[in-house]
Amino acid sequence: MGTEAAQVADRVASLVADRVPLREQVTADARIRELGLDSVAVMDLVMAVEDEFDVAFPLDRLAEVETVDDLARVVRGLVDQRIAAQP
Amino acid sequence: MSLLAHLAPLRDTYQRLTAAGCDPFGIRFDNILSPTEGVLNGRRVLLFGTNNYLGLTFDPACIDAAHRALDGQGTGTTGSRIANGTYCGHGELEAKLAQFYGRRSGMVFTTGYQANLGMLSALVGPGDHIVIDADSHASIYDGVRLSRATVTRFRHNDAHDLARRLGRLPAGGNTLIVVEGIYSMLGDTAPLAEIVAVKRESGAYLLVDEAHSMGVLGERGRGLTEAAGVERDVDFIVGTFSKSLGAVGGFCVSDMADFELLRLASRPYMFTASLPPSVIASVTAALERVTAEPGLRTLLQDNARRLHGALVAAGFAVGPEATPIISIEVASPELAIAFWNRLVEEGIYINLALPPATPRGLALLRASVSAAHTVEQLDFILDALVAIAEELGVLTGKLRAVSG
Repeated sequence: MGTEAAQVADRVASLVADRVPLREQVTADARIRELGLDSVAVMDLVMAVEDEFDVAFPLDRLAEVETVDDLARVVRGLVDQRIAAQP
Repeated sequence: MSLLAHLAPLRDTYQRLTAAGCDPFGIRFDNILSPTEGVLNGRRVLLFGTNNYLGLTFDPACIDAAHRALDGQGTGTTGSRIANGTYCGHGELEAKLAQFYGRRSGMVFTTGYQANLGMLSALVGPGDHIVIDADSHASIYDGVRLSRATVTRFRHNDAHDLARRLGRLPAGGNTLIVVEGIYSMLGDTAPLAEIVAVKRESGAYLLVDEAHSMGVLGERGRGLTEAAGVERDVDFIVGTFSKSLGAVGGFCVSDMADFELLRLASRPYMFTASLPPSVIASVTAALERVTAEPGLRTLLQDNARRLHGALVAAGFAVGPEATPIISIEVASPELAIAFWNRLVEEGIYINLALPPATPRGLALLRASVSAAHTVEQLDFILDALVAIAEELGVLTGKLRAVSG
């Protein structure tokens, strides 16, 4: 049982779009660093993702993230872990 | 493809940076004359970008101690303490640092950068958690990566946000919170009492990097931890010898049991050469000066308040607190570069700080004030800042177009 994938993807894409110059470039396979976000902006995006989904997103997991879809996939996993850990 | 092709965007940025005149990140002094004066391109310049908070780089007692160590013990230790042994001066300095802070143990590193690398990489490991302030120094970011613990950031100086993020961490493992005393870009201090309250509640450990606050804050110069009255709740204090103490090197002090084992676990401590005896000697003398002359701190604080207050009155956007780091926000990197070049023309060297090294993408002109600055020198930089700001339209909001 996974978290509703499409819903997570939409919310992640929306958070990315809020931070880039051209919203329309934010597609599932867009590379995040090519959207105009520098290293600090990417880490700030991670903070926003943590708040949106109420998860801890360790910075080393950024190694798995190139595209918007990669980010959504990591977030889905973290949300699933959080739900599984709840009593 | 060239091996360095991935640096092409950096080359473009660098070319834009240097187009306006000098290279702000490659400036080369002909000579340094005193803690506050140097020679640049054949001209005397006032130094306002040094972190030389107490002005001890030319202190006669420090220079004399370094001379004696140089003559007596030679130019370097030529190896690490683990492999090549410890000179007695290094051990004495560690004991004096521990005594200065009222702690059980102290450990000296070869640079301040390595102090953070060495501590953060050895204190925690896989399965543990580190939570750092988002505006942390690069050495903290690099150190936590070496630790292989999971790393999350909290919003700068926001203890409430820290508590929230601690609450999201998965169960298991130890948690280390990392903050700084004075933050190096805007000169603001951590809300340490609030952070300590969160730390107590969560059962985490706390490390405070006092690089810019040692010798600057606190009645005895122990830093923000002392000034905030929370020394008992801070598990580790990290600091540097390259600012108030006028040399190079770093340290950590703590009351933690088994602290000495870190010497055998911390790779940035084990696998690098220890400091030359002359540096250890000047740092030891400088630490004595910090204790013997609290007047230096008063002078520094007076100078910081004088410049900060005058800049606020003149309408500059500066950091929130009158600490010795006084940064002026400028609307764009281009304007900051133009402003910086005009200051050099007027005989003033300060730091230019640009994103992503700055918080919130700010372009900053960063001045560091010293106890050694005279009132005349402070007035000189103030007059120059106001005149150039008017010339470039920084204070009016009507920014003059800056061409390369």
